[in-house]
Amino acid sequence: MISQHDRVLRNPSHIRLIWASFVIAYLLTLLPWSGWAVILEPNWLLLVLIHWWLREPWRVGQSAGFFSGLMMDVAQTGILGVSALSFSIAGWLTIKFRTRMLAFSPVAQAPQILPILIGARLVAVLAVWLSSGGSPNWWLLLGSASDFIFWIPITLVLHQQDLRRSHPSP
Amino acid sequence: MSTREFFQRGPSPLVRLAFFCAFSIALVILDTRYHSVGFIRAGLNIFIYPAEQAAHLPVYLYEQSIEFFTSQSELRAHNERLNHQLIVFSERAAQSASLEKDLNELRALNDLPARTKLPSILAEVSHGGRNPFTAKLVLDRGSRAGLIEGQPVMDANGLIGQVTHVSLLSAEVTMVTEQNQQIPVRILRNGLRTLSEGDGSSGTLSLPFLPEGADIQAGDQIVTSGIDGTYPEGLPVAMVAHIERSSSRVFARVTCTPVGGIGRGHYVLVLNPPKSADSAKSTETTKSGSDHD
Repeated sequence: MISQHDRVLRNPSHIRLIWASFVIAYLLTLLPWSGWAVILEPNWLLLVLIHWWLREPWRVGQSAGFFSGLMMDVAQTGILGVSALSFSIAGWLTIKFRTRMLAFSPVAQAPQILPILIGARLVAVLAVWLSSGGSPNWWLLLGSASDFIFWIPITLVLHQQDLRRSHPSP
Repeated sequence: MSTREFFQRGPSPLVRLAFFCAFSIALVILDTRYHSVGFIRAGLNIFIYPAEQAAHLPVYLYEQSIEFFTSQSELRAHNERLNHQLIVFSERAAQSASLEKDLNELRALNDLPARTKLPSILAEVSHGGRNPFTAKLVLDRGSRAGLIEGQPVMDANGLIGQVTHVSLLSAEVTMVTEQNQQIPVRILRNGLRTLSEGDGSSGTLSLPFLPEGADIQAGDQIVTSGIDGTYPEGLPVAMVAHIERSSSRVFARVTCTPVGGIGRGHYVLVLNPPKSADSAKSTETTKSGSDHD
């Protein structure tokens, strides 16, 4: 269960990898999603953020979450500040439980990250409901399932890339 | 890493959380209550625009290739349908031109200003807004093409919404079905005036202020009444789908389906609100009136 990679001191992640992962996540967010895909679309930016909050909280901090949230709100033409709020809270939770989560392998981390993913969506649903009235759209919580499914491949790919770049083969 | 950097921690995560939460909540309030963060959105949109174009490229290429392989028979059928529509519409256009002439003559006899044709801007829908919370469209034209907030937007079938945010190269359209989006309308059959309100996620509209005994039936066409000076008069908005009357309620529950169909790659027409044309006209009338005095 316990990941050996994180038990040893390692080089800091390559800054280019961090930026590239954010750019790709943002481009995925910008794809013309429509219909049910909008509800089931994974929160790409949040998944990448959580990965880096776990691995590199000194470089990707809570402010990165806030600004990514703002970019997400603009990309989604939503109420400005909703994703920023949900990402800020997710960031704080991830950083708070970081040490415990890092004791597990990426696959074993998934069930512990699920409450954060659900919480982030819940905050967004409630913020939209409280600010603009109407009835809350609980269907959006379904998206946490795709977040959960995509978390494992995303974190594994980023982790692999990170290791390759940190320890280049001779 | 120097010793100083190593020990420099800054505010605790909880303090940071409080700061970012307060900032986010302030933004939410400013956006929803005062609509005063448009400049942040417009500024960020300039950076997002190229990325958005890049993200849409694969989808665009795919659609283009699909279109390229459209069969001859399909194209023929489409062409035939368009030709048929052209005949129908040219006949209607001829009729409407003569009716317009008559109407303007009658208005002139009654000392009413003649109706002017409103200039409009053609725009393409670049995507469906990607927002799970709201029904919005994003157009490929922005303030550079002369779009301003508040302009009504229609497609070939009828009204689809209103421009709510404009940035340099794109504009957001809030759909008529969006929650709290109200439009002054009238029933085409009998001229009964009321307000329509979007139902949100269900994609329908309702007429919440019609009394129980109101003369309305399923299939009635709802058009804009032009009362607010934002939407020009007579644009088709919706069709009455379902009416629920109950003696225990003051108002009937009327559900309508919007007539404006939407999708990516479709063209829409952004109209100028009649208010601007009218206000210019009324200023002119006042001026000429004071000249006479």
